[in-house]
Amino acid sequence: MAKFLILVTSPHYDSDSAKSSYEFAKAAIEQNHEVLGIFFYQSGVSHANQFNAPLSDEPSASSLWQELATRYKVNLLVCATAASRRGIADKEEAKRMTFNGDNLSEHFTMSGLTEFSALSTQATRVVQF
Amino acid sequence: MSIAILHTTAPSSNPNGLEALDTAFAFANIEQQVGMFFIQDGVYQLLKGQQPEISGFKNHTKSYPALEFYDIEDIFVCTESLKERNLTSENLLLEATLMSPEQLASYLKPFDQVLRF
Repeated sequence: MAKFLILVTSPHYDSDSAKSSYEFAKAAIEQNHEVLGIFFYQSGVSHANQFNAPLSDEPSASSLWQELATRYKVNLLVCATAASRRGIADKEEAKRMTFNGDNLSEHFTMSGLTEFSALSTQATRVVQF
Repeated sequence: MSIAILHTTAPSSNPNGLEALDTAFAFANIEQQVGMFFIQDGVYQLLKGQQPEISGFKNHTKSYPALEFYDIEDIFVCTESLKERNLTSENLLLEATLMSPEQLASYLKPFDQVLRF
């Protein structure tokens, strides 16, 4: 059985990374592999923005992530530095920066490259989307 | 554990170079073996004398010499990519091992993980 760590570096709307990585994680779990987490880095941090609101007849990356987190208990980790650079802030960061509001989606956790590299050492496979 | 970091894009048009370096340093900090591969437009990352500050960009290429302090010594550059862009090792800002695409492929093979930037 493999231990997968998934890295998402492409954006939520301008690529198919949400669908691909969701399908991949789901398939891995259903085949009894372990998914250590999904780590969002570079443009991939846009997946964690709770203000993403595609048109009603379009697929929603956010609902896929919420399902993955609630139904399959997968950790959704966001690189805090990459997130700051791209306007994603959790409650703490929004307060520190005196922003009017925070926008980190539910079930996503701020993390960092240190955690990503540590998780990589436990993984048998790292897959990038 | 060993990790290969592939640079495939030129600097100044996107933050890949900077964010790939941050990743390399994070892995080196927890004492993992890091290899860096510069292929395709990624060879532009290593050009001497870059001054992105002029256009208001951060010059992350100043951090390449710091790889040595992190014990990152496996630095490979694709000769084919250099030739296609009319560049030679003379143009590069650090000591790197030049390799053909075939050699690069065989050097990449033993790495446990590969990340592409």
